[in-house]
Amino acid sequence: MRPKDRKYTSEHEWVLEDADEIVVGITDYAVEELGDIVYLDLLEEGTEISAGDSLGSIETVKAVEEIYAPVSGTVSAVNPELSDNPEKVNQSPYEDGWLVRIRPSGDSVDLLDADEYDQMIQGS
Amino acid sequence: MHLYWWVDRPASGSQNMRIDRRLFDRVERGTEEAIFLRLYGWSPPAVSLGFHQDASPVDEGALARDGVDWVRRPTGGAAVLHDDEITYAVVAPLGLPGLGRGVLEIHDALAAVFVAALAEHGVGAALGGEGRPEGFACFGAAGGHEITVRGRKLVGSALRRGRRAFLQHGSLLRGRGHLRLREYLGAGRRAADPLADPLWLARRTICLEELGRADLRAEDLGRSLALLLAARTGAGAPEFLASSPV
Repeated sequence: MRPKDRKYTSEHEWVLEDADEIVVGITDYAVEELGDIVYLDLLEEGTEISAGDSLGSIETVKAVEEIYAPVSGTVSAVNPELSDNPEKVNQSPYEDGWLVRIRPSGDSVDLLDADEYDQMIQGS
Repeated sequence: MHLYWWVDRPASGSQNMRIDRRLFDRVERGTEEAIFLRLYGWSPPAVSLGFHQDASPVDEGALARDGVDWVRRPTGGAAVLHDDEITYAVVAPLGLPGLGRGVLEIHDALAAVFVAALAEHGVGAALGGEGRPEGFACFGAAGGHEITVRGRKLVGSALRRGRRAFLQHGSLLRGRGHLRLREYLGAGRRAADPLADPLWLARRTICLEELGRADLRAEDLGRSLALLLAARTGAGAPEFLASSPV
């Protein structure tokens, strides 16, 4: 069961509003598709981004892929735990394995609620 | 869905990676909905690093001395010395029947195609080893998703996955040239570097020469791969191209 307190994207990310920031991570489905994560290369704090831009890249044992910003804004924090412990994303994608916090400035990609995301997964 | 395949003449590391990146971009951007299978070689030989690998171990002096190139791949994974091997790149849309979307799903599907193609040419390989990633070299470990013979790695592969497409790189070892990788990565200068042991890679790998099939031609393997890949994905009859379309 995916948390219902947040929104999801078709790129398999989750977005959680927290005061005036949003927290971004990747879903359990994304983690399952990726396999063991060994390295994350994320944008630095203070970087301005537009919705849909690359937020950085994720490396697994066998692959590399980009991750994309679900909203426009400024990166206000990068999860400091992940540089030494990238496996936290595998172990706890919805809690300890969050990726970045963004101070939003407006636009976002289309966001889905948990049920809509579940339906999208089942249809893919 | 159309499948195109061809064999390129050996080229430099930067040229090879540029072609593969262009092929990936064509499918990723939706310019073309096709499967591309490209086989090629390297001239001069080159060390390739994975997309995120630290380049500081690369010994530029040793590379210059021997006329060896180095390049960064758009795919993940670890370092390979491309010398005396058959290299391939597969680019395809995500979610095709028989290939899927997940990283390991794609790896396993393509490995199954590769194992079947090798069997057609008398090479009895299998999917799977028991190794875990260790050290800086791709061929230093054979995980459960690798192509091996008697537990020793024959093919190394790595992936880049985009929103709509993937690129997989693979190296099929023909001879033992790749073992010189340690000479170009400052082996022994770093603590706990398994490459400090000159036999470390040799014990973990196997090549076509050792299997009596050093004569396997890229054209013959490519034809088998193209037909098997087309059958698996439901693509039409593979179309052979005289040269790269990009």
